[in-house]
Amino acid sequence: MTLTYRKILLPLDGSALAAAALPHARRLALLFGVELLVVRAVADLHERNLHYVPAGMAPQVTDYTQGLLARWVAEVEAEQAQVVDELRAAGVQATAVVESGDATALILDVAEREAVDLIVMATHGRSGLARWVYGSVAEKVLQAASCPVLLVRSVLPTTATATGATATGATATGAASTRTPSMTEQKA
Amino acid sequence: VTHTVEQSAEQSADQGMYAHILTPLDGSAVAAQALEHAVAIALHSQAKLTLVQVIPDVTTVATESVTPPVGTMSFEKFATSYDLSSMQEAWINEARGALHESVDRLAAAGVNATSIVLQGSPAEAILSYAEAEAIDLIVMSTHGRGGVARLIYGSVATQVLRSAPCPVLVVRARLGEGRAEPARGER
Repeated sequence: MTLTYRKILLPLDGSALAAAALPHARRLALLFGVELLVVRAVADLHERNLHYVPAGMAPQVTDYTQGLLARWVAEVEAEQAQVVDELRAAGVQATAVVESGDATALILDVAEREAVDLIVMATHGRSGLARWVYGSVAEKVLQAASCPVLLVRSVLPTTATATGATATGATATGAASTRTPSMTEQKA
Repeated sequence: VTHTVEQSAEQSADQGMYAHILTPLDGSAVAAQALEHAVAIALHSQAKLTLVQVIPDVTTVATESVTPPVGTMSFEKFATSYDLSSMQEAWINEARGALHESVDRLAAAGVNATSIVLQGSPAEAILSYAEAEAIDLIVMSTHGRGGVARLIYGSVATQVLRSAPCPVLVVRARLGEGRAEPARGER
């Protein structure tokens, strides 16, 4: 009855928020001894920009955005290579995937074509811009992925200060003590 | 034996493994689909696996969903006539029995498993327990479809996801299917 994972997918977007999932992806890849695909999407500037320019300017805009996109992809690839090198140094069989396009679509596409068993990604329970941008990707992936998704809640970097952490900890403890339910326990 | 288990749990934490995994069950086949994922991770990280089932307070359920015959009796009298406390007890015992069976089956497969029955609102009880017991991974099912079942169970998963003190592995349930992995994907 024991199931095993064969390939794990970790989506990153260059943010500290998304990177919160990395330790869990690394841990599971090591535990199961399987490949970890580190996926990053680069927004397709070209496709997007062509919607906004007159048809006559399309060639110049194409040159410009494709040059920009190429530079961006190269930069992201360098960042990804660094992440992958660190993972490999830790013993993980890691592979980088960088493609241009929509993040959700790329994650789902790679999951499908690579027969990924598990997606490990960050999200967080707060509102605000970051949730709107990244949380929605996690939400869409969760809705559409055909494999299990491990969601790691991330705390925004601004609240990770010493005082912020203490305050959060105190609130959590208080909440736990006030709403502990009545329980009947049994042990194996 | 207990001592050895505790020591290995500490070592596991040092090595960056999961030490205590929680899987909420609700007696349905859908919820149980998360179990094999929990088992796989528990076995690989030598973690303790706790199965939890939350029994809602019968009185609350009755108050919310049953309209007693209007004008004929008070709710208290109505509730007494149905002996809600023995209903509650029967429900708890049934859950406990089912969890016992699962724990025995898991133990036979080499999993360090235990179970617990909680009372209250499912999401709240799961979250409090996870916090109190320093659970480091929750593995649970959710429905990939709409419908009544999603409203009932999916909402618990949603609430747990939103406020969980630890990562949550969400397994989308496949209806009318026993096995999980091999049947899936593009193969």
